[in-house]
Amino acid sequence: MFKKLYHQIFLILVTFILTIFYVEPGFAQANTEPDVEFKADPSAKKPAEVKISGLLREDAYYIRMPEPDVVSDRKDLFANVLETRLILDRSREDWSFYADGRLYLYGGETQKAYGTTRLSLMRVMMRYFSPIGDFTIGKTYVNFGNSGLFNPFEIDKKIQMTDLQYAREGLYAAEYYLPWQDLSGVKIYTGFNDAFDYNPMLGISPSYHLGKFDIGGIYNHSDIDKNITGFYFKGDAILGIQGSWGAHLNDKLKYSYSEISGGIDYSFFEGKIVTTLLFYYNENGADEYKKYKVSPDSFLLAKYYGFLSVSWLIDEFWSVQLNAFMNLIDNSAVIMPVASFIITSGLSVTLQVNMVTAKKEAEFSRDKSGDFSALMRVEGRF
Amino acid sequence: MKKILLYIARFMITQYFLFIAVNVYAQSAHEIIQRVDSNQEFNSQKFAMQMTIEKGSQKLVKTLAGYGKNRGEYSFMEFTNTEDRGVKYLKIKDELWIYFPDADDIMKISGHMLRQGMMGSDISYEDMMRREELDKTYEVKLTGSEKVHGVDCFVIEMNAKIKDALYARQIIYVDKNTYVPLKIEMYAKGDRMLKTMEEFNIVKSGNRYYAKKIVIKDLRKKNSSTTVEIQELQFNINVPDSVFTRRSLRK
Repeated sequence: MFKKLYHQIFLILVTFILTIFYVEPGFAQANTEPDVEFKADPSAKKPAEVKISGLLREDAYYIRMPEPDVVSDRKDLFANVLETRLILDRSREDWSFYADGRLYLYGGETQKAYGTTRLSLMRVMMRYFSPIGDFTIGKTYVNFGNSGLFNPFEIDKKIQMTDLQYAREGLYAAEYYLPWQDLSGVKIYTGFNDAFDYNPMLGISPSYHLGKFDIGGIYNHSDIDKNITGFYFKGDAILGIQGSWGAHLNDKLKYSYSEISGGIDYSFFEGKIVTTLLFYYNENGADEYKKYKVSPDSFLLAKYYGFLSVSWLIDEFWSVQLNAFMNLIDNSAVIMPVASFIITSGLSVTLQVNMVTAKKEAEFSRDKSGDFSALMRVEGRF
Repeated sequence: MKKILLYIARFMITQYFLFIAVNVYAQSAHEIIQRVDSNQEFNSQKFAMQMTIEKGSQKLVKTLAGYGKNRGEYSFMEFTNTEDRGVKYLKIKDELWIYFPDADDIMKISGHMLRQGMMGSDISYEDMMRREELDKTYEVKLTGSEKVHGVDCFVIEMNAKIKDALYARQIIYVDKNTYVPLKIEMYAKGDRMLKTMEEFNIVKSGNRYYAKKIVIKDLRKKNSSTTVEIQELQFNINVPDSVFTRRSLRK
């Protein structure tokens, strides 16, 4: 644990030092030779000052279990996470630097799982915008496909159904993006995960804008022989439409399966009510609940899932949302009503309740997830 | 016989003057709207603004800066206030992409969402990013004169003549000197008033006039208003095409 803590402290110190000693070549020349076109570019952020911003977030959880917990002999469980996020950002017309470090303080059940504190450097990266494309190096997010719960191409996927915005750490990676045309390009990357314990990852994703659709292809290699290839699209045809198909070609094709996701969205009353319906198929998932097995290759157990979300933006300050995540094999579901209120600029409070519909062996059952759980989040940005 | 001829002559003269008067009136409405359009016409635009969203005593302040091209057909903007810092929007025709710095990711937003209030305000993405060519979009009729904020204004009723119009009907009150609409009432298809917009602090830039302060009220919300204050506005500057690209969202 101490080794990991030192590792994180070292990275944070490196981040600060990089920011301080980061010199912008060519800044003086740009000032002495003003160029109208150069001035009009929004990326021309001169002088390249360090912007420090952050977030303070308090999450309080309550879980009601059907039977008393084995260790504490209590049915009512509490957990607390206090997150302090610090973001350093420095950019100019052809360079940008970004670092996101977080300190977590745990209480209650999360303290039992993670200890009292945890430091995490989520990202620290530099990006160079050259005439021949964009180069990124450091601990960074490599995003492939349509972002979201059912994206088959998300690298290092970690999902918590009950979390509002799951946080993930970046990969140690080098990425190159070659734009061609205004809305199309090719992304190539190579990288390692946090533990540096697997073969290097390697991926390529060309994307293209056609009509009112963004479409793209993907090939990604990770671990020793873990590969995924496929395509995705997102666009408009009266409704918002999205879809992805990913073919896993693992262990010299001995272990291959497909993932498919598709969905539609539409809004009513000038966007005040937004509805989203998603469907997900995983060939590797179980087709009956007795065959459920936890696998490192899949974050869900069954073959078919559905997701329904209805959001109502009541006014500038209030919004409510009803999310239902359904396992279509055992017919269990987790239903999550969410209410959010903006207290003032940068300060908001959110209440989320999670209710499961099934019992015993089902994936979303009271015996596994508790009768009921609730999360209250207070978040301030500075 | 003489009487009949005199009657016909009188009738023709009356009809002639009536015809002239009607045409002059109709032409005036078009001319006025063309003047309004020419105030809003731009090849390119650079702006910085503050948006204050109010509901009763509650208040949210957002600041943003950006660029536009071809009357807002192309638009790029970046939020600079603390809680939204680094969020960027790229709009090309009727498609919208948003960059989220927390995820370092670009999301394509469905077209139907363009009618949603931007960042919770009373201004839709379309209101903010699109400038309609009024003369081509609406049938216009001059209905009279009225004072708005003590200024003498033409009152013009505009009915949508194309399906793609932002509003089915609008009534605009145009300042007789500057041709800036000091007040606009916007109606839905069922003739229900949706929004009102009032413009203040009119300034001159080159040959055009524009308002430095705009107050928009969405009448479907109680005690709600959004005030836009222009901090910087430049027209027809040289904005490179590379601004309106997916790549510039990650810059």
